[in-house]
Amino acid sequence: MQYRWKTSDSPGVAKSDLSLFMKLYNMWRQRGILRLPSELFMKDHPEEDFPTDPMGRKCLEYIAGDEIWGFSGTEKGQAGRPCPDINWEWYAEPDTDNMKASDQVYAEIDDAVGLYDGQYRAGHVGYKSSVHAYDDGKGEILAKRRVNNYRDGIDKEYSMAKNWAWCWPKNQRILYNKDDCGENDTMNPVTFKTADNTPWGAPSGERSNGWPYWRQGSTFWWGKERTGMARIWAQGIAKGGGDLTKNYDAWTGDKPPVPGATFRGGKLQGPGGKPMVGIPEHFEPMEYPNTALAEDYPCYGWLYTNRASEYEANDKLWDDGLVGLPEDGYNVIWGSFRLTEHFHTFTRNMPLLNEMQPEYFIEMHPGHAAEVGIDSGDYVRVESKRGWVICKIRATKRVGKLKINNADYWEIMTPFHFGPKDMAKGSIANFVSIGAVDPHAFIPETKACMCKILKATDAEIAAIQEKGYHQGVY
Amino acid sequence: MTDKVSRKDFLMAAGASLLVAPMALEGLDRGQRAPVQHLGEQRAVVVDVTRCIGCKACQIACKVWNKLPAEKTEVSDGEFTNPKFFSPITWKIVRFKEIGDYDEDAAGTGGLKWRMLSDNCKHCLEPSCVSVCPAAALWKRSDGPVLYDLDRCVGCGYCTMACPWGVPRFDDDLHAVRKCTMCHDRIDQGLEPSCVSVCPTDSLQYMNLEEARRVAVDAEANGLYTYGVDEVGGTSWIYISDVPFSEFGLPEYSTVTQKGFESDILVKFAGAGLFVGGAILAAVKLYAERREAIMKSGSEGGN
Amino acid sequence: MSEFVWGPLMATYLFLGGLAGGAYLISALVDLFKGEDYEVLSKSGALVSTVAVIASVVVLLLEIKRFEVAPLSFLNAFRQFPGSMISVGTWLLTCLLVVSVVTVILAFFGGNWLVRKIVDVVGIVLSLGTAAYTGLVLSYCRGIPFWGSPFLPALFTVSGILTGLTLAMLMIPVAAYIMPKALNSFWELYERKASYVGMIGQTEKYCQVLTVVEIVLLALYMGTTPTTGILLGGSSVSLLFYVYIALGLLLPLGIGYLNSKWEHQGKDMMIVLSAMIGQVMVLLGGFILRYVVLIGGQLIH
Repeated sequence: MQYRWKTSDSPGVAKSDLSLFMKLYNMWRQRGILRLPSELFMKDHPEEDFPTDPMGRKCLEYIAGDEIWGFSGTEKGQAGRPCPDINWEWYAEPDTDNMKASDQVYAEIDDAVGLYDGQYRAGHVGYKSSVHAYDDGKGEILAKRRVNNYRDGIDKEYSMAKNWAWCWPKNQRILYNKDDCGENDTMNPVTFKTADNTPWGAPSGERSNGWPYWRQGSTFWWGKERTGMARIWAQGIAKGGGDLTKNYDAWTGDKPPVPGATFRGGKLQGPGGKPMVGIPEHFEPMEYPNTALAEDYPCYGWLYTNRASEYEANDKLWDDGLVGLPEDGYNVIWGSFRLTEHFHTFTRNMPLLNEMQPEYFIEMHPGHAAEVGIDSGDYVRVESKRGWVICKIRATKRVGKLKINNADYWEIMTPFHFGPKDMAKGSIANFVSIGAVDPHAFIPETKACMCKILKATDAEIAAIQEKGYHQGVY
Repeated sequence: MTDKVSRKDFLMAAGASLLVAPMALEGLDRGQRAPVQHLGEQRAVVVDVTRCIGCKACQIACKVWNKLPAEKTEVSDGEFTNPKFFSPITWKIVRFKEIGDYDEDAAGTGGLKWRMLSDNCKHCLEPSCVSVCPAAALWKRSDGPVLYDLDRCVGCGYCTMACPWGVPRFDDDLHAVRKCTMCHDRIDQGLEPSCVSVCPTDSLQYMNLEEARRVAVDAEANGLYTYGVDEVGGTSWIYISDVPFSEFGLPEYSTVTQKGFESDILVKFAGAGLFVGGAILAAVKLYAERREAIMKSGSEGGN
Repeated sequence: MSEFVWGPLMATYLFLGGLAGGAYLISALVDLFKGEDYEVLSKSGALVSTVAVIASVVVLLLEIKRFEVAPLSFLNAFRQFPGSMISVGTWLLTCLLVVSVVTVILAFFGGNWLVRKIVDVVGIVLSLGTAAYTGLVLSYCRGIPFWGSPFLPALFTVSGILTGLTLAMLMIPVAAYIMPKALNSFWELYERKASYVGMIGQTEKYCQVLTVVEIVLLALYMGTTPTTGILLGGSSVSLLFYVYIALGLLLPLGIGYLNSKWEHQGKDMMIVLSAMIGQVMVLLGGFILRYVVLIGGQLIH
């Protein structure tokens, strides 16, 4: 089994020594000669030895509070769902000035994960959970730890030194968003309703759908939050510009919402220098579906700062004409996601995973597919201002028609794991995505852009069936 | 003791079915819950669809423990079910199913539900495959698993047709049939089946059959759907869901076991045979008479 | 992985099994009730039955291919005698083979009258069982609701008898031409055109009744099975199904009607030829019926 890059294949029928050990291991496991520590533990210990998790399950170690599945509102939770009450005042950026580059990376990740995770919530000032990637106090990367003592009796019994190079990134993902499709089935993650003309999203609170939405006249984003991001934005607005209702008015006038920012040619310009903390990010992606809304809620991509390094990438996109606007026909919202089955792009050499997700595809609503004139399993050409890919579609109702500012937009979603090499071949999703960055963290905006969907021509279909991928850049 | 009583029960049921079957076309379909032998000894798995998050860990765990190779698959529809169906080297699949719609018009219908069901051999209490196998290559072990012996397999493929869910699949290299074994080698070691051991949300739970049936009955009382308590006389894998199982493509079956089904068909066929035989004889007789009459009149008229 | 576990060879097996049962049934009934006049038909039926049983077993072995891996594994099929339909069928076919061979020996080399009658009676039970088995083996399949109708074994039984009778009749001139010396009585019968044509007239009466019964049973079967649409339209076998109805059912009926018209007009050769066409069509239809039902069921699955 090889993750991605194999130096060379063995000659003939020769196999690596590891395959012999795998055989031995499998044989011992099959015959019960070899047991995993967890299995032994379950066998050797009476049930009372186990701590219990909120679902009544016995488990070896319980850290995550009662927030794993379907529970919320705990005070002690460290991982899992965030507590919404983040105190923005207590948030401080990590002091990374004197760190090595690698330490900086881990500290930034740790900090960002902390933000997402609700670490800076009320009542827990300065509290750092044990579940993280970087130890602030000792100033070390936890993956580099080499502590070979045992934390307790259980560790000792099974020779598991859990402080040895163990990294606990607070990186929970919701697999296929079970909760969102689950208990509260009225939820609708993809349709932002605008029944009473509020700018974004669900106005009256009935659709508490796990997605944050804006209630007019309020300084908060509402909704059953999952990531904590919404609250952070809201707090950020409140901190940076005061009441958002006022801001909304201010932005449509000639007064800049953020001190120092200026307008030019109808577009918002940034102040230059240090990036602004507190400006609402990602209100609109750089490529926007709705011009009126985009002008009301501009994004970082629109801030012009005389090529200050933070904004250079964004400015260049504008200058090179690589931003596709709805007026030019780029009116389908493109989003990307990860599959459970693949880890980043490294697992496309693993047969069992490729069996489950064998090739690149996009998800399209059946109605959208019918408009294009195709069906599940047919090929389309996905085209943006930057490039194009040919791929299969999966017709599914998990994506749909978004109602944004009273206009309808089809949405498509696509995984990004695939490429021209390895077993699971496919076009590269990022040939379509946009290289805009958030100047604060330099995180590229590869999750959202605008595209066109065309039916693939016969030549394109022949090409992708031959090579397994077909793509290009402009 | 239990054995005797149940045999008597069976005989009575069989006799009753012989009497009742010809009367109603539905035959035995409205029967009582099938008697289950030695509940306490049997192991079972409860699959709770409401807890499944679709991580497919069970699907991988099955292949890893049983050392089954990967299949060549492709993207074909909107669901993430892949491979699409059981095969000799795929004993477990997670069936994904979208139910409902996000469309605005469908707001009143409860929106979109996405459900996943971890599907494999149900290990029936009275398995069809065991019943129809001409070579006694399949058998039901007393503690639950339905096992098979490749050395005995004739290769007729009858079990692939007889299984209500098409679980045993025909291997074209071995010319024999393979299917899920409920990880009997793990059960022998006192472990859970491989898929159960990796389930992160306890959607799969390994327990006694008696307990499992109790869990299912409780779930039914709470308004959930269950599958496997009654179907084909009960199974060792019992499913609980908040959506009907027909959504996952699991057919509805009555409590009738394979034996009951067979005797039902046989009785009806015998009835039909008698009727048809009589009809043929009568028709031949009538036909001959009519033919003679026509020929007589024809020859008379002709001459 | 082949597309269907049970393919054309299995259909051939079911067809030949039903045909063997039917042919032996005709042979025995004729021997019991018609006596000397129809001795040739009785012999022909027994011969057809013997050959068909052997052929069906060979075809089955070819279909399951297990002998490539484990040569003697098919012997396991005798294990679960009353419990498994395939095991029952294996025993039935084996016994029918023995009985057919015995009948052939008794018919051609002479034998005790009583022994012949006893063998006939035993053979009737076996042959009816074999013909019914070819349908029951499908209708017991719970996983394929398309087959789960008691009218399917009835349909296959009637079709088996019809094809058996048809092939027994067809074999008389064919065998007479191939082996005039060995099958002297066949040749003599065929030489006397009038008596052969008379036999055709007599048997076609039964054939027509059986065909009508088959149509009725087909309608009943299609009415009671849940997924009839697979045959009626849209799938790859629906065209074949209509071919079966046209060529296997309606055409022979028409030919039979024509022949009954021609019977007293001295058109002996016409009758023999048209009867042969009808017989071939019946046989073709019998095979197509098996194939269509077999593949149609697996298509839905």
